[in-house]
Amino acid sequence: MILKTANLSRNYGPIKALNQLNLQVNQGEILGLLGPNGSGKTTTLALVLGILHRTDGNYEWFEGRYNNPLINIGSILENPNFYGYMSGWDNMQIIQKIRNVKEGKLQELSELVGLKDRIHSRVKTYSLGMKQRLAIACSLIGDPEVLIFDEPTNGLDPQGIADIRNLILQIAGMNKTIIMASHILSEVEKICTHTAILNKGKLIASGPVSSILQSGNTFVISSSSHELLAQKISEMPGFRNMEKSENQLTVNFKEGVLAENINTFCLNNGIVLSGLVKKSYSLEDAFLKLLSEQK
Amino acid sequence: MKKLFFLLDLEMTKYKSNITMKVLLLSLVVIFPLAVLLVSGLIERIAVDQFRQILLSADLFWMLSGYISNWLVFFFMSFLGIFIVTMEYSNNTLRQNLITGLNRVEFLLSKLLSLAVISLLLTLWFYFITILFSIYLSIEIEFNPYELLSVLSAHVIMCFGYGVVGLLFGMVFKSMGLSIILFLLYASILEPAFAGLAHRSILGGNGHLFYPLNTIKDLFPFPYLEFANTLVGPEENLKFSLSIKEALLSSSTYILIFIGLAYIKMKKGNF
Repeated sequence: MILKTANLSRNYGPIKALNQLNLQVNQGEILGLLGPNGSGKTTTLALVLGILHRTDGNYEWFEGRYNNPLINIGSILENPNFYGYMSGWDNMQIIQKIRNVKEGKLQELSELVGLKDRIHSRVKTYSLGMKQRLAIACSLIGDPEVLIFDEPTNGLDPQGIADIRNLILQIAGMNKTIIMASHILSEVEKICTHTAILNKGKLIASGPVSSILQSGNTFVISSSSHELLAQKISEMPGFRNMEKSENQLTVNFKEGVLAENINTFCLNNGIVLSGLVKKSYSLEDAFLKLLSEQK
Repeated sequence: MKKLFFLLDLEMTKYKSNITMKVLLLSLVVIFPLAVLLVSGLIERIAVDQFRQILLSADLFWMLSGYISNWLVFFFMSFLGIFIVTMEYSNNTLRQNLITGLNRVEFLLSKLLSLAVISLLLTLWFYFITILFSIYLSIEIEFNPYELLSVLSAHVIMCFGYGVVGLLFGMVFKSMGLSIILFLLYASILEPAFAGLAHRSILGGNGHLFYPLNTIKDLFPFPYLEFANTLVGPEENLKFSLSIKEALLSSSTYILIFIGLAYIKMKKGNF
């Protein structure tokens, strides 16, 4: 196990920025920490990185294997932070020194993030996208087991977003555990294997992305006997509600109702189905649905 | 020991291309000998022969040189102390250093170490310039090792003390401009006003000399204050400044307290 939090909490006066978070991250997972602004994503990361003091609860990195676990974690929290008067190279050297790495492969990393030609320029002359790429290079110094990215594409233009996303996908291929906070759902859907959704400081869902996308038991059903189908399906055991469109029905059933149950029920009622598909949500649908359930 | 070199090396990497740091250091290195030259030149021109010999005697010349350094170091080291920590706050690099793996104590230690090394280097410069001008002004210097050590220790502690006070102001107020303004306000108005007016009129005695910045300042007080006693008569027994032993002891105590406060601030802070 890489990270485990137990009832981790942080209050700002009466405000519960993080409320009893229980989360587990396993090796090789790419966890997307999702939530609207102010949901507690950055607070969670700041707590587990030790720059915020917790109000309650606990957390443990690497099952307590290392004295200083942060040496094995490359992280970017909010904006990339550098000494602007220094070159990208010198900034990388500082990280290398703190991590006590003899061979930091700085040249290799600057090439990986596409900064080879500008690495000796002062960071204050860099664009935000270049700083973000430098931050990613810095996070990789010392080949850490875990990477933490907090809103890595914040403030970038579409090209910059695509570049960073490709870079993260490339890094994900290096078999690293990645924890990424974001409110850009398409980004998480494309990159992450697992997700944890926070709202108002509380964890409202977590698990593999695929299970979140398929949460709920909704089927899209169609038949030439459209009206009959609509009438009969509402009588089926486990029926919850349905949305009608011109030639298909989107029907929500209770958990446990399977496609074969629906098919058999329809056949027994003299309806031949021309279409029966379990509906997959986009992460955005799933996210909004979970949030509305919270309300 | 290895750890200390590592922290010092880390700090030097941060400073080597920092223009503010270079300008501050270079200004002090240049201004100090110029100031000694100016003041000793003035004394030579203005004072009558009899006084000239006393004013520029070996003992007093060390104190005069130290007093000039005191003024310059007051600004330089306190600003430097403020600068090296507020720079980390304003760039958010303190946060980045911590999440990269540097722990809070190491971070504070690295700042204190760099202030200590700069204090040592400035003291060497002070020693070198004072000796140089002694030769230039034909002042006969007797090398009493105990006294020399005491003067040099006082100079190191003075530089370090101002630096630590600046560092603490920077850690508390986080913004460089605000820290400098509040430091100057405290040093030039609040402490003197409180010590000189409130303390003396309420409590009396010499306790007003034992305020933090005054104890550091009195490591090298105005060298000719002792003459005041000869002018007003010994029965008045005016005490204008702390003795070197009192100043060394009290300023060192304050420095330890300030380091303790900085440690607590660093340990309890959220970044």
